[in-house]
Amino acid sequence: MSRILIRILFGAILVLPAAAQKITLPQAKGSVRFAVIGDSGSGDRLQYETADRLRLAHQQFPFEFALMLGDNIYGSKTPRDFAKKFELPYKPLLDNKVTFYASLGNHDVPEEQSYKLFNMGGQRYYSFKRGNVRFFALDSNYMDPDQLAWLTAQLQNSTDDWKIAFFHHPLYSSARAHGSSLELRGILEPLFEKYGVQVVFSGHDHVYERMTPQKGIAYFTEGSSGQLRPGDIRGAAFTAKSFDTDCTFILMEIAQNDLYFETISRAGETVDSGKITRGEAKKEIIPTGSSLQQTPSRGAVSAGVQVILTRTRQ
Amino acid sequence: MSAVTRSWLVCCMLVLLVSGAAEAVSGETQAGAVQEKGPDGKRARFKEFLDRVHEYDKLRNSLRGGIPEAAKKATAEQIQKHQEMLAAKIEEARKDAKQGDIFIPESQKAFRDAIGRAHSGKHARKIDRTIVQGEPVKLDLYVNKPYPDKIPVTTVPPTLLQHFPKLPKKIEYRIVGDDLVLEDIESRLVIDIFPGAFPNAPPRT
Repeated sequence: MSRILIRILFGAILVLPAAAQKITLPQAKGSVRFAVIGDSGSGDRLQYETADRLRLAHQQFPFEFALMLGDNIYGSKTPRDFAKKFELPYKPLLDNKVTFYASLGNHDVPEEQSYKLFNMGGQRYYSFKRGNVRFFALDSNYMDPDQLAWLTAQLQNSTDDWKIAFFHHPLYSSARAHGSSLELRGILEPLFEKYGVQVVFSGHDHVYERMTPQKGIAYFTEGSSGQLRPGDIRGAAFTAKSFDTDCTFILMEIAQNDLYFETISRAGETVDSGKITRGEAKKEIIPTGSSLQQTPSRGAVSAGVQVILTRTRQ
Repeated sequence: MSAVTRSWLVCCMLVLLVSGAAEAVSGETQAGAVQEKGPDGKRARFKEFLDRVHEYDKLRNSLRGGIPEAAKKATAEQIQKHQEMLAAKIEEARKDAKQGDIFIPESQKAFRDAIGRAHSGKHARKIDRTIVQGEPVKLDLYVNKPYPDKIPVTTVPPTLLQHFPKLPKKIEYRIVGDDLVLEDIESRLVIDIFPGAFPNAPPRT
């Protein structure tokens, strides 16, 4: 009996926030709205429940597209696997014309670049534009000189207000399992800094972590949209906010010079949120909300972006 | 000319000779480094290897005929069908292929040198770290057989890729255990294996 009661109470804890969940992104007219998921393709309960939470979020915040940070299909890659690990969990979103843009992780196979629902155009790395934002999808499994030359040329030619890069391996991560990819950081970060990339998304570590801006760049790790390593975050000087007790995804909205973000857990809790302002240098981060759990929000000085934490709990 | 003056002159000449020689050595080193970084340098070092890789690439392209193209926007079924049909044709055409057909001893030496050069620099520790973070694997692979799709792809350190020769599109390097592997990413077939290319590689799972 007591076990049943505990289960009911536990269930209520999980369900209650779902009812209370309210997305507070501004939904400004003409803004660019998207979601970010990483390490999603497990095909198990964690992925399905997180995908369902994403579906609920889409009802309130109708984002047009989603970025995938790699490990889109774990394990075998038969057509059945593509259905189980991608098409079924995200069916409601696909039915609602949400477009997915994938990057490749180490559990993916290069042929995924031809898969029509990943919209990679047959390329391991590619870019696309939405509104005043240019997105760069990179293949961090295989950062060969050709890819670096392509990225340099693309960044040089981009006159877009916002430049956002996404790929699998994180340049900054305090997770135990993998941590920061230092070699990749040494190669990519100077390019990002030189050509004004403001935001970078990665996965690989099965946690959520937001870094204090590094060299003017806001870094996010979102590797827990279908996998989870509870307790994996160590925390580092660069950690602004972290969460490793449930799966998550990020919602993003870009309106002119402001990028708003809200990170939501599988249980429906907002675990992190804030605003990044383009081109505002040397300003202190002003935390305005209390932290849900784990790493307290940390202030920092940024060279290229200003991050304001607007709210961290419903 | 006094004995002291003569001694000074001899000393000065020696100094000039030594510094000149040092400059010449330094010049050679720099020229070597530039050559190594330039595409011509790598092409020359890996000529035998690249000739064989391009031969394979030609064969693969010729076998594509009659196979439905995996378009840029394909279904999962179309991708699988294309991969399996192409793999079957290549397996048949290369049924006598054996380990070392492409990584011939001279090429193995060139790769060993390249790996050594990459590891001798300041990036050595970062290279190993990249491999470890990429979830390294140890498994038995066979030439002309598929790379299992359930097995993760180990990240190839960017510094190594800068030292290795450029491959045709659809062919990639893999690091599996201590071995350097060439994979045809369109058919998923292992083209060749250089066993023990990384004798001091970090531990694999």
